[in-house]
Amino acid sequence: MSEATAPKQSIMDKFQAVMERTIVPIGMKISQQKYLAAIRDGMTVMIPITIIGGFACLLAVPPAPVGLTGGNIFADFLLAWQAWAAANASVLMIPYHMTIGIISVFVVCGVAYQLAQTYKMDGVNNMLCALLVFLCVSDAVDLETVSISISKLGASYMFGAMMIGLLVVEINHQCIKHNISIKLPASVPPNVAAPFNVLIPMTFSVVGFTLLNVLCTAVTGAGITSLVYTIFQPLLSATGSLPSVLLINVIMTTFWFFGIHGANMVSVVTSPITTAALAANLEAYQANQPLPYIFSGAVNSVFGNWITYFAILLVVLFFCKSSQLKSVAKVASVPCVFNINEPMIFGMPTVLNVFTYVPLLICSIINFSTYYLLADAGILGRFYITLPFTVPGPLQAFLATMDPKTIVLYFVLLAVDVLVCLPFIKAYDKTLVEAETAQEKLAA
Amino acid sequence: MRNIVLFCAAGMSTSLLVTKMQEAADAAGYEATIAAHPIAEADTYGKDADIVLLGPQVRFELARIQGLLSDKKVEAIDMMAYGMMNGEAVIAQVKKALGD
Repeated sequence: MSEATAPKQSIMDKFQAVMERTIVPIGMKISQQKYLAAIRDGMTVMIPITIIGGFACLLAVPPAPVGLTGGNIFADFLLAWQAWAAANASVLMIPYHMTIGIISVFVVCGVAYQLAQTYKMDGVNNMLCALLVFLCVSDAVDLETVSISISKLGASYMFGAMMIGLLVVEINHQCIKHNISIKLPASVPPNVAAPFNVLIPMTFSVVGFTLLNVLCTAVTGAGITSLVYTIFQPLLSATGSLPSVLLINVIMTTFWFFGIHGANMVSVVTSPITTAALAANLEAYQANQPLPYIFSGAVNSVFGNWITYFAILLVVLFFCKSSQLKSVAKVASVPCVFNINEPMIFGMPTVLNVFTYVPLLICSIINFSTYYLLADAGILGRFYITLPFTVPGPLQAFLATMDPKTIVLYFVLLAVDVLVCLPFIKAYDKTLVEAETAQEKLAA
Repeated sequence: MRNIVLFCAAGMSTSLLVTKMQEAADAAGYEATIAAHPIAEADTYGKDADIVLLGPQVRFELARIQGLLSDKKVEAIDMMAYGMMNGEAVIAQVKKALGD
């Protein structure tokens, strides 16, 4: 077997040194890419908003199959819920429309705020400036009725919102950097001067983007945000394809193999895509349309390695003898149920451990492919509800899809993962037991 | 009284360690307030810290966080101590770094 897994500290240290020199800088580069980081952190702020929108929508549109008739308690409950929801739809749908329905408004604010923070600029001013520009070019304003149509502020325009959030803050940043502002006499108090410093870049952005939007509409027939959507839409579909998600998962598992937060690394690319897909799915759900995206929300974690870590834990609990694995299981069990796997990752460790890396890779491919193919065939529901990431796997699968069949799949995959992991983890356990007995002999 | 602040991706797994560290600090009579937060909020919560500790899974952020909090001690937590949720070992790391 690879020397990476040998218990000898010196070899382990050498490997660690190599990886600190090679993999860690990659992580550093990604994390310091300020635009990607602003988008990722902006998406993180969206989580509570999407959770509220999802549950409001669910409450208003119960997951009852068409043509459902009463008979058992469950069906009766769904029918009663449906009747209640229909009677109160006008109230129940408001939180949905004010969250997912206008998600681009929140996205432009979140992204602009995060980028402003990176530049150590005023968060609120930049956020408002970006929001203003976005609303001006969103084509949401109907001048005849003097109203804003929220259909222009939904999931489809998220990518335009991200772009405007970044560009507006960047313009403000450049203005500050090159000292382009209204010079007021020193006798003017700073609190009075502050709004004027915001004014020049804000005016520049509003005028500039409005003109750009007019030009864009004249040439393409649609505004900037629609154009950005047209450009990004194929990318969204391509990233959500099976091979692409499997590649993402392999990269994620590999980062974790080096002890680096894999999800955090890939989320600079995936979080805008899965958030947009989730919002689009939710829009389709409330409009009674088929859900368009499989790669949505937390699907690649729920039907990815979260199952495998739990499977490894079960193998350790029931089949392993080494005191190291037993003591790890003690601290790792409860967190693992809530999808916090760091104790296993650093305690077993799965870091630089080929005995865990190989089954984690195999299982991540099996788990996601199985779900993907079944969801693609219309047998399983797709993710349209966001939940806090600590909601245990099977419950999260069910609540995110409202399809009880996903719970069945979860446990089937768990059993498969246990079988895949068993020989690897047993072999690892054996090397640990051997090392432990050798050490005891040495001590005795 | 030392103010120890831990960061990881979501502040979840480090919060597990906080309890263990607090126990270890109390047992040793080492006065410390310990808290965990998401690394995205390092700017806000790192300001008042005596020492900032990063979960090993986000140690690639070390340079950036050190830049953000230039006058603070910023260290990554030892992987094994982290995995075993060994509060004593991490408190020992803190003491050594701060010279307590």
